[in-house]
Amino acid sequence: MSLTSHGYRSSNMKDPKLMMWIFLASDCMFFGSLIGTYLVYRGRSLMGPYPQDVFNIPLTTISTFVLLMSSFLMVMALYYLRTNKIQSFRLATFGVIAFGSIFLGFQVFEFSHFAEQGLTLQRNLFGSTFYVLTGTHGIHVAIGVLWLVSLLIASYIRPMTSKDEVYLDVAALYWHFVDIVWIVIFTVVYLIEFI
Amino acid sequence: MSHNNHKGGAGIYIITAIALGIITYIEFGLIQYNWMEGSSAILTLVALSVVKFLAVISIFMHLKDDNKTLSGFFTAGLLFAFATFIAVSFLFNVNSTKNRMAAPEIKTTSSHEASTENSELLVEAVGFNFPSGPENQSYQIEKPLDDKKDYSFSLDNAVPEPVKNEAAVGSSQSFDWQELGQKTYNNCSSCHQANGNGIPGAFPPLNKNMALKYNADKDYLLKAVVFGLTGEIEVDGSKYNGAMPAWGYLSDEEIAAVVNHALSSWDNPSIVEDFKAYTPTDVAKVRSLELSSADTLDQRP
Amino acid sequence: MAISSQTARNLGNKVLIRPNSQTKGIVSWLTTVDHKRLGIMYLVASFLFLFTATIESALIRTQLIRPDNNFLNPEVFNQMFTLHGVTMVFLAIMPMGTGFANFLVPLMIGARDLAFPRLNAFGFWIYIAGATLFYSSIFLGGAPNAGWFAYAPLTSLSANPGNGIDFYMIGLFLAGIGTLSTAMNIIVTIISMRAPGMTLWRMPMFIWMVLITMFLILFAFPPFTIALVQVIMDRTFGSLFYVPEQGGMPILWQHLFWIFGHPEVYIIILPAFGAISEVIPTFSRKPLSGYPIMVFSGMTIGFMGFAVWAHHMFTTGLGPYGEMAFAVTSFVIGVPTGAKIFNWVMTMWGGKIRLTTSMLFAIGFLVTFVMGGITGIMVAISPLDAQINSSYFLVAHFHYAMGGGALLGFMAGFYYWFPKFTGKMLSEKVGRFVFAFIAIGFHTVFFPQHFLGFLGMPRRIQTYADGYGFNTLNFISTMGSYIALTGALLLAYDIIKTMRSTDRKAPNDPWDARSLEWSIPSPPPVHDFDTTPVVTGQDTFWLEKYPQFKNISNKEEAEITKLSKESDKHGIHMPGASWWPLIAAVALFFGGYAVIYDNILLGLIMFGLLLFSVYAWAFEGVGGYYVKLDSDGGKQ
Repeated sequence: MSLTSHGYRSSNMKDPKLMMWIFLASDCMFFGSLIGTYLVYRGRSLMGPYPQDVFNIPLTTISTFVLLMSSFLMVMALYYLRTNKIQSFRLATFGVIAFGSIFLGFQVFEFSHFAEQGLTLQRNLFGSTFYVLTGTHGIHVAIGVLWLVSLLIASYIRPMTSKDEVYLDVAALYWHFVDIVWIVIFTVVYLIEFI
Repeated sequence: MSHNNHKGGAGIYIITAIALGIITYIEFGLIQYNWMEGSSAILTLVALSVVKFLAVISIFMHLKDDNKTLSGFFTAGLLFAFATFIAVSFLFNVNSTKNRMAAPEIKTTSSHEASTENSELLVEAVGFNFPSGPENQSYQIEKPLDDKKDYSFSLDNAVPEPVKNEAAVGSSQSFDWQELGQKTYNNCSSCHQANGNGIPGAFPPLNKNMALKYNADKDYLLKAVVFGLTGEIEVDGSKYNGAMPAWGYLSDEEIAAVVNHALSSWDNPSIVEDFKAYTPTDVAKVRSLELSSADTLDQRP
Repeated sequence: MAISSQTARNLGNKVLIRPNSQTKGIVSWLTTVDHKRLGIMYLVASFLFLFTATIESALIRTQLIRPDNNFLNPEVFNQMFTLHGVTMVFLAIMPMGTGFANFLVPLMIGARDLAFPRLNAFGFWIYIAGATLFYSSIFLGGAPNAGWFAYAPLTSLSANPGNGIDFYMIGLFLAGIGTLSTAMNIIVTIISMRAPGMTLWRMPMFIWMVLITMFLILFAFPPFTIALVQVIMDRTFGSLFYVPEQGGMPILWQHLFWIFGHPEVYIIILPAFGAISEVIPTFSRKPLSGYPIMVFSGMTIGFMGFAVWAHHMFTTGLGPYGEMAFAVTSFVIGVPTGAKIFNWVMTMWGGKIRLTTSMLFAIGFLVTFVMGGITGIMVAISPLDAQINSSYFLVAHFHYAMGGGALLGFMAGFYYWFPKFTGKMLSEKVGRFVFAFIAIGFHTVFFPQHFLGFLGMPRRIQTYADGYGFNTLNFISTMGSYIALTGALLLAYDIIKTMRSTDRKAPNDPWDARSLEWSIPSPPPVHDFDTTPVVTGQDTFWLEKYPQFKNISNKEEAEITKLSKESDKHGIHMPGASWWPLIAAVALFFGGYAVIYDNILLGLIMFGLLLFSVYAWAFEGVGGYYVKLDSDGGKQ
């Protein structure tokens, strides 16, 4: 409990941050259902292309690495904002946006490459489940990128200081979540096919 | 305003980032360069992912420094998701043919006496007086209690003796399909029924008709099972317009076995000409045709 | 059309400028973020849908009054029971709980609004959007006809080529967004905005039940949303999720649906349990018996609710181990529920009972819900379920549990809190008739259906032939529905008469009740509490009225009072009204049509509007104003 500028509060967590964690808890079930569907349908496609035919592990490893590093830059951006190093904060945020966009670029390349090899949404169960799962993840990344771009621009219009850190904190939490979902997808969808 | 108690500089973030990169490389090497194989590879991969997962959550997302309630929420969400989907996978896998009991025998009778007899039994049991319903009712369940049978619960007892039919064994002695076919037929019996007679107007009979189709085109039966069959067909004067699902996700052994089983059951053995049991290779050959269920209809003899 | 610049300015002032505390009329309702107004709007909408669903059920029963009837042809009949089910579950009962929660949660915990008021408004408007889209299907080619649980592959494009199913999928998708956002809002509110002294263990039981419900929503809605998306993808983009010809497994829809669907029925019933837990102690003049057990049993029910879903699938060939596991968990979930029943009865035992209409409904709830629970345990026995699944026995079971449970529970809450919401007292005399008609009608409809089920009458059949022994029981059941409908009409009459009357003003505390919402006027002023409440124990308002029951040290009370005064120094800040929640909901509404009619242009425009409204929402900030109190405590 604490006394804030809004009066007495019965917890010491800020509302937006608490809200974001609660949202992430429900997003776990969201992605859990999608990953669950993928796993239930794994190996049940009646015809190819099959995962081993289309997956490019080196490329996907690079994009995974890019996303992980974007998470690192994200936590650095928050650290810089908290310690009032505003220029570094802006640079780090820009880095997250750049790396996130690179990841999205990899995804777009991958999808179009798969489509050329004949894997479409309508082709087989692998196509349906893979595209919906990774597509939903990609949409989450895109929303995150848009959010960070908006924050970055807003920070120029109305300069952000360490007092506003909760707004970056919630964006950062969202971004890290998107990253850890990808950690699961990378293992459970991509790597497991090649054991 | 205290948000988290993270003291100290960004050093821990840098270290974590480097660790994440190294772990990713190890995962990559595991797969690309085959540093490990089989189940140990899977376990290692999963363990490494868990480490990455926890590192990002506790360090990058500050969970280890924050109010424990937040950890509680997130863990709850994770556990619910994990537990639910383990349960669902279990249900999907345990439900495979290998674990099912054989369907009980359902005798058909169109006699009014049988239905009256059953009604009497039900009246005794329940105390209600059930009318027997429309005259041409069939599918009464046999008297449930038979002293001679052993009703102890055991999955072994539940699988009846496989059908042995000398004429149908055929030349491929190495492929032992009888028991597998019996068990796999559980997939079929919900529509085509345990007696192979199907349901008039809804599901065509396999009895007799399957042998006829075998005589006309040996590949056709396999196509129907692997790729499914949709559209209007006529069997023994009756029309059926349904959608038989594709069973291609069953293994080659299971498909060969179940088709052999059906061709060796009921009246089929007496109709089938020159029966050679299907082998898994036959199924694989048909599978490579990559047809659709509409194609099967086109190729129906 | 040219308009003068003065008109334009007037229009702008009315429409485009942010509404404030002076805004009146319909604009103030469209842009309100006040939890009380939104609560009332939820309740009005949910009661309208409740009446609609009651009419739908009367139509269904009329069709089934005699054999070989053709009052509703089969296609219309299928649409009718689908509409009835979806309306009752998603558009009537669940929003009723949300409406009660919206109005009462801040008041019971001593707060002045929810944590995110504009998000609250959005939750309401998207519910209306989803509901409107769903019902518009009737005029746009026919309502969905695959039942409220819409099993695949009946919902596939080949089996169901019209647009009806799309309206189901998208309407519920939209409504689900609102439910999720409101759930998160309420969780944050309950955790962060309790008044000084209100520890978790001093919260009213209604708040506990709402909190658990909101967590259930959080975890149950995502799988349903995914299942809806999968069907939408199948129907719109040709994916193969539930296409058996290509290896898709429709049973997956059943799993995903019931992973949501079973927690959903607990989402429906737990707020009603909470309402009963407020009503019975007040009208027994005794504190709720076994507060800790009530809390833990609520948590257990919520948690176990996720572990029983496949009991809806006993006839799908789960296999012996699956069936055993889910049968056992379904038995277990009856235990905490039973604990609650015992505690409610123990609360009444030795108390001074007042049989107000609200209390009558509560007692009706106890009897009816227990009957529903018992038949629930019966159907949890999977071999028995194999016999009577999809028969009228099941229909009887779930109506007893949901109708007897949730409906009677919420009716008890409605009669209890109506004075607080509106400032007027409903007629106790008419109320008794409402109760009698509804309770007797309800039992007349559903009790015979147990026997119909054992006789073998399947559910969802448009008609039945003569000679099966169903005739008399169906006739009785239909008569019951007319009796219940009379009760519903009486209720509508009483509500309208009361609202138009001027002589039935309600005092602050008409029932001599126990919780904080009764400490403020009926209806409450816009700022709810003049001063931040000081909470000294469970049933804190009772302790204020009767301090001899206080059990708190002077030191602690002084500390809490100090916190309350410090909090008051920050003033009374009311959140600002806003257009953007409504506009965002409208964008999603039309976006839904864009998906159904494959209209890319409309979709893009609406997406743009949505994006714009989200940015505008973010950048307009909380806004709002400070309330100044007169010297005598009223608002200036």
